[in-house]
Amino acid sequence: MSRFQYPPNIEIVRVPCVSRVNPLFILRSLQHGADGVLVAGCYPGECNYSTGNLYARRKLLMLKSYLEYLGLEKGRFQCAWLSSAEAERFVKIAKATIESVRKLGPAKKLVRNKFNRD
Amino acid sequence: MKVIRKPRYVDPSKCTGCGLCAQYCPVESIDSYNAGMGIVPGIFVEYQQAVPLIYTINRDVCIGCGLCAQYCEADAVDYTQKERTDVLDIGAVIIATGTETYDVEPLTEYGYGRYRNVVSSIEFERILSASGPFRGLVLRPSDGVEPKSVAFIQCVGSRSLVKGNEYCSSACCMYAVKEAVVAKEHLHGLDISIFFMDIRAYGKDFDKYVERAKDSGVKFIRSRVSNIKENENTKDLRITYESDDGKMQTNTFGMVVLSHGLCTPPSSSELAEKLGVELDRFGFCRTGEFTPLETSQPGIFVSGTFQGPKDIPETVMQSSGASALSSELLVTERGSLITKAEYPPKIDVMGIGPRIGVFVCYCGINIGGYVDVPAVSKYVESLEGVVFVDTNLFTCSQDSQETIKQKIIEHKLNRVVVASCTPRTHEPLFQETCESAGLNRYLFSMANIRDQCSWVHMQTKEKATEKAKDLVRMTVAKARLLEPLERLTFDLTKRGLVIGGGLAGMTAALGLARQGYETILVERENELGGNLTHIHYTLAGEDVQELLKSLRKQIKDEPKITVHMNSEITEITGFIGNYKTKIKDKDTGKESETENGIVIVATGGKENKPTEYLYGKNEKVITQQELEVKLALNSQLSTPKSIVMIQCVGSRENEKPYCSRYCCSQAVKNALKIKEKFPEASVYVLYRDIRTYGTKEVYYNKAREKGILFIHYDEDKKPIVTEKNGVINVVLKDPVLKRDLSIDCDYLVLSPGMVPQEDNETYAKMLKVPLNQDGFFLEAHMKLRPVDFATDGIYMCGICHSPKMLDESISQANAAVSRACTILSKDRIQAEGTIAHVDIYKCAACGTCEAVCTYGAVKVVENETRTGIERYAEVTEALCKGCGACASSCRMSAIDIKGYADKDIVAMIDNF
Amino acid sequence: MQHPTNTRTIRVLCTGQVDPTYVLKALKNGADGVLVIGCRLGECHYINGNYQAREKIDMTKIMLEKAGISSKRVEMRFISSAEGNKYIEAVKEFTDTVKSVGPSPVRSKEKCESIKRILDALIAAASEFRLRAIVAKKKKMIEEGNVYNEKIPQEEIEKVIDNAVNTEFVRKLIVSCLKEKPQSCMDIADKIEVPSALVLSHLSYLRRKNIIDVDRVKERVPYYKII
Repeated sequence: MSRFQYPPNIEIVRVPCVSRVNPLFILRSLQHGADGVLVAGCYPGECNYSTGNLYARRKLLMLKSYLEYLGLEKGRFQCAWLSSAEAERFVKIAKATIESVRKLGPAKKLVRNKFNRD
Repeated sequence: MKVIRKPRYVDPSKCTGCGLCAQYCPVESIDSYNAGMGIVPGIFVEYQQAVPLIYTINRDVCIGCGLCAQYCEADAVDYTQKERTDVLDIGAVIIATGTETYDVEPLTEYGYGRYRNVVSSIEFERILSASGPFRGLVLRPSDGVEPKSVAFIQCVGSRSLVKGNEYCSSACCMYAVKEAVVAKEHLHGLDISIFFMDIRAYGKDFDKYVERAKDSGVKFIRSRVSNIKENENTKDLRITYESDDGKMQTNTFGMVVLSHGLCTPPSSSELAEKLGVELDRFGFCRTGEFTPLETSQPGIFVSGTFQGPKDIPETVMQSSGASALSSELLVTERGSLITKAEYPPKIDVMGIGPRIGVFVCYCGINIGGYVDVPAVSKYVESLEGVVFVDTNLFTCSQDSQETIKQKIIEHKLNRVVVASCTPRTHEPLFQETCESAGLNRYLFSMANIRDQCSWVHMQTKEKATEKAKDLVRMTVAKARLLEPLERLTFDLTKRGLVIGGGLAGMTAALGLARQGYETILVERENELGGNLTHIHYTLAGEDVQELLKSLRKQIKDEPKITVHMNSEITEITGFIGNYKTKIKDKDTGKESETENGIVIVATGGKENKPTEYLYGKNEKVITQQELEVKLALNSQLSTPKSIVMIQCVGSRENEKPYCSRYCCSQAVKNALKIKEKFPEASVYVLYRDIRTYGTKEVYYNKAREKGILFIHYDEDKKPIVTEKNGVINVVLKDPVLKRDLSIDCDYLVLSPGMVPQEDNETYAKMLKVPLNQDGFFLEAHMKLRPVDFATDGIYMCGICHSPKMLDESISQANAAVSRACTILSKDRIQAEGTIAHVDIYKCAACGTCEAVCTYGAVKVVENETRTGIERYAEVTEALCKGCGACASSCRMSAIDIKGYADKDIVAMIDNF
Repeated sequence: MQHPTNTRTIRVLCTGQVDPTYVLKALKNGADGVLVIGCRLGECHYINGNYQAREKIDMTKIMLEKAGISSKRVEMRFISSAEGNKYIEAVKEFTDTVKSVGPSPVRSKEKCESIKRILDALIAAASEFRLRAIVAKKKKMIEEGNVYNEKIPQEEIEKVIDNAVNTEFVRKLIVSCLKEKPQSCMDIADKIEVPSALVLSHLSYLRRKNIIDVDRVKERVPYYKII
């Protein structure tokens, strides 16, 4: 609504709560050639479903260590916690993520089945 | 009722809230939403989340240039609108007009209006806000620099007989502490001092919050500030005050925040006059001591700060309560004005492949100006499964709905995708349109190409168009896999169960009965009343025993209420709408079973027994409750010469860190009573903070006028109580004289506060609801849902939630009735459509899903299946909210969310 | 007919075509004064052109006064194309007036930079949609009435224009200041000689419109930059 601008390199997949995010989704995105994956959820204590984001945080942090162990560059998979009223913060995070992923270059590890647009 | 509707000069049925008009308006006016610190155009909405999101012309500043109408693409501006009077047929009225902030400018000693860096607390609140004038940076208005230090001055315009209002505004202590904590979060290292007289942190978990603030470095200085001076050059502010040790100190601050109080605006008194509603001497709505929601005019109810200054949880309780009482009047008419929506028979889509229709929206120029909509449409035509593509200028308009309906039927569409704005605005509208064409609403999906594309990529049309294509492709991929979903409905038992027969329990039972529902009331003791049996009079002098008698009679006379005295509940099973309860009579041991749709918990609390100050060792050391009984029954008190009261005994420390809220008022009440009966007696009240909040403050003033001495003591310098020759002696250090005071007294009265009932734990386990750290029941949301549990169908009221005053228990009980009736009044209970579903043959019964579910909606059970006895997770559809925590935790992929299934989300990922 | 050589003439189809930015640009390029000559009121070949020009020139004069430049440097005269002698009189008179005010501050070495910056800000303000729209609608609203069919008194519209000129001018000054490098509220206030509290409120507005943003916060002082 505030129309803060950010680069169009981010596609958004909508879920009812960050707790819906299965670690396998993230792996799949990377397999399909995503250069980076950003998971954004509500602040701890502010989850609309009370505790969803707390479970998600633990799962995703564990996933992060596994991915790094597998050799995925640090910074391709990121988590962010913010309120849905913080438009400016989301844009900051989006821009920062795009920048850091851009620095890492196109994804090569884990890419299996890159989607062909044409 | 005659209602005058002022014109907004914008047609609400056409305005889409796109904001184009505001961009071109040439006049500017003061932004009152941002407390006067910003600028809005002449045609405006207060903020982007406004409901309804319709722009309004501020006629005071509008010059009538006509530009907004020229630029509006929806043709929504209408300058010919006039004020009009509507006549409405109304059965009951609720006044919730609230209060305004006290104008601090006339208090010239604080410099507001002269010194730029002295701001009011509402202005500071906006400064802290991420959507405020400084976007969340804490800046001084004089020079835009972050301050090093901020001072808060409490009670500005409140608790004053000379300048302002006599009453306490109830909310300022907590909001000041909140602003201090938030300011520290924004600006690390910010030095904050709060100058106060008493910290009124009387609510649930308020004291904990204040302690956390103290731990984080916020300084609390008990001193009243008399004036503020500005340094001409730096624009810093100097505060001179008397510190604890009696010395005068001067501190300099970068900013000063004045915590102003609340008062009723003149418009409220005008409204009250029109409605024939009486006001009290402070301008608040006059209500009865035991009827806090009823005005002097029958049929007109009140809630919120218009009834008296209060905090958010109490306001929410009063509002729910007022809606219960007002609907009580209209019980016979329940449902009579509702028109049921009629839907055509559903199209059967099984077996037919997906025939997807995509509607791409221009949204005026909001999407069309930044994304090549025709290109996106053309691209979408090429996607597999898409049989029809159309574009609309405004897909959310009424005529577009008609078009969509037509096209669904014409092209035999069985999946619909709308590529437009955020689902939060119009998803329900489009789902309704699908239903009206015979298509199940869950066969519909949205792609957000506005908020997540055109609005945020305004400078890169090519890339934005590519992204829009991607987003629609992803949604089409998901749409191919969507299945029709049913929202299961259940029968419900229209009977309520109230646990506990105290003030809250009785009020709730009567409320439910008067709403027309059978009610079972279970009471542990052999008479109704709970704590009411020990209370005889209120601060205002009302007779509480009369209230108790009246309530007992009302319950007896009410045919819909069945009372189980001397009984306890042994088991409650089931879920919302379908509970089975076992009640055991404690005397006979007989068990009876009943079915009920909802449960209201009103188990109450009881006065704590002190373990210090010689209580139990000397019969002259008594609690306030015991004192009140003695004072009421006259005979038991021999003429005392001197009485000492000690507040916060065993309260607000160690294992009981919470405040019991009523004790200060109770002490003042009893002190005044003593003075009434024994005018020559000396009464001393030793306190840490006097929490006579709201209009109770005037009794505190009265007590001091009558010569009752209030002496402050610190938590770490508690009074010392000894006994010598049968005389009780209290010694404490007087903070003003700096010397030890030794008082001999005839009676030592202790305020030990309240503790929750021991069987709260039993009920918590039985109902599977949580308790907080102090043993009181934990509500779904501290501020906004003070009577709900996270689990639907169970509610709470009264002291079992937290200690409170009598009128607050009454309001909360009515609130619980209101919330319970939202369930009981339904014909059937409908579950959500996008809920969890278990494939029992994949389930390993590990219990992980049960552990992560907040709502208790999934449990591992053991049942007979077609392969024999199996253990598996079972979903209670009525309770599932569809959050997905279970689905993403399941290691067998056995549990999934319909509508947001793994396959659906993976389809989107595969097609980005 | 002879007249002084100190004028350079720019021909326009109608004074209605004269944009305030032309006048301001002329001053920025070093003109001591700008004289706009149109047909007599009521005799405009394009009916309303000279009326519109008058409003624009009035607004320009207000702008110059706010910027500390004498508004005597800009004038409009209404002369029929057949009245050659009136034209010469006008030119002579105007030349004298401008002479009494003094040479253009653009030519002075110390003031040149700041005056140029000020005139840049004025040009940007005059290009701002708001100002152009109100000035254009002014005549119609006074004479025929606005969309509510009310006739707006002249003083009211002039107050709105005055207000708008004020705010747009200061905002454009702030923006031009920030073009050089990121600066703080106090820095800007000192440079453009406007009270810091007022600058702060304009900075909030410009941030909301996504024209500027905070670059960084150093030692409790936020520095703003242009996006």
